[in-house]
Amino acid sequence: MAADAILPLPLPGVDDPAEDELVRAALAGDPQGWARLIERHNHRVVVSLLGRGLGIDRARELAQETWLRLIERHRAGRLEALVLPGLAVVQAGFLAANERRREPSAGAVDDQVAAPGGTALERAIDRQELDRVSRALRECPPAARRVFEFVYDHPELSYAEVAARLGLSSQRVKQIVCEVRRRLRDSLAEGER
Amino acid sequence: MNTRHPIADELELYVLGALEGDVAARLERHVRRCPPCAVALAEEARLETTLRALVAARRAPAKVVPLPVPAAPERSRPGLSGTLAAAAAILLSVWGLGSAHRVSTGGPAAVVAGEGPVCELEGEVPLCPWPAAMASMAVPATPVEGGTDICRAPASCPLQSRLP
Repeated sequence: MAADAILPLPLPGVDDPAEDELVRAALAGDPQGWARLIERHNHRVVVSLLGRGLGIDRARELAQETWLRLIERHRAGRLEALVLPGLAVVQAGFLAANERRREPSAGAVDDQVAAPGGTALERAIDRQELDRVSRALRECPPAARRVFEFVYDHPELSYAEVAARLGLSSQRVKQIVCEVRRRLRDSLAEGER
Repeated sequence: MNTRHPIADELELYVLGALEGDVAARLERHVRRCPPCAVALAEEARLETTLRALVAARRAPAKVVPLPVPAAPERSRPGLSGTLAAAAAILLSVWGLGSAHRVSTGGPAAVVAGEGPVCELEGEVPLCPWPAAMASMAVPATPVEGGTDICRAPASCPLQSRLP
């Protein structure tokens, strides 16, 4: 089904008290709070590491180490606030970069994925790419764009949660995100040609 | 070994976290033993990272704060210095994705206290992932022993003056 078929959506407020509550609990030293946050955000951390060329097992290990580091920091009184998944992603990237410096040739996948264009962030900083993506996003049907942006603005929400908030089915949300993503991917690919 | 290679849609859904648990587990098992699929998955993950950065940068221009470039990186590439600040800024805006859920502690908003200051503007966006931005770009920032620091902003960082 085309994303154009999506009807206007009533988008709810952006605050997610559940996330706030979990962060508060974690910062108060509640292990359950940490466990829920890890469960909620770990996949994003793993994906960020996969994007750096790590194998699936190493990515999982490093993601685990990331959380341990954050918890250690908190226990040492050096972590006053949590912004997730950003903080964990940055920490994971830092660990991965350190590992790469120690073992520059580690990982067959790493070598194969090391494209001439450099890291994702290097590519991301390309102003032209930003313009292309912005244009492609603007050209998407407004309702589809809003769903896409809602999903990307709320990485802490599962697809089921997003679907419940938007009054759509999970499957529909996934379809929309994949379709918009495909358009953005094409817009990036056009620039590379 | 599961010999069926995952289709592109499955890789995409996996990266998006939208794949059912058992299907995701099967995909992971396959990718462990199939280098071409591992590469495809890595590319998909990399695309996701790029899209998140771009979408965030597009949506939050007001949150983007340019950071200065270190005076003399050990290894530099032509034309890269001008992009470092932009990269850091984009990273910040990506990081800012979670800012809606920031828990106010009522005091100064240092995210990480102690050895690694993390700057912040007006309690809105966590800033200054200095070495992280460098690391993300595979640019040799000064290595930090142990690799536990999220941020160790250089003295030249203009945000230092805003630290509590």
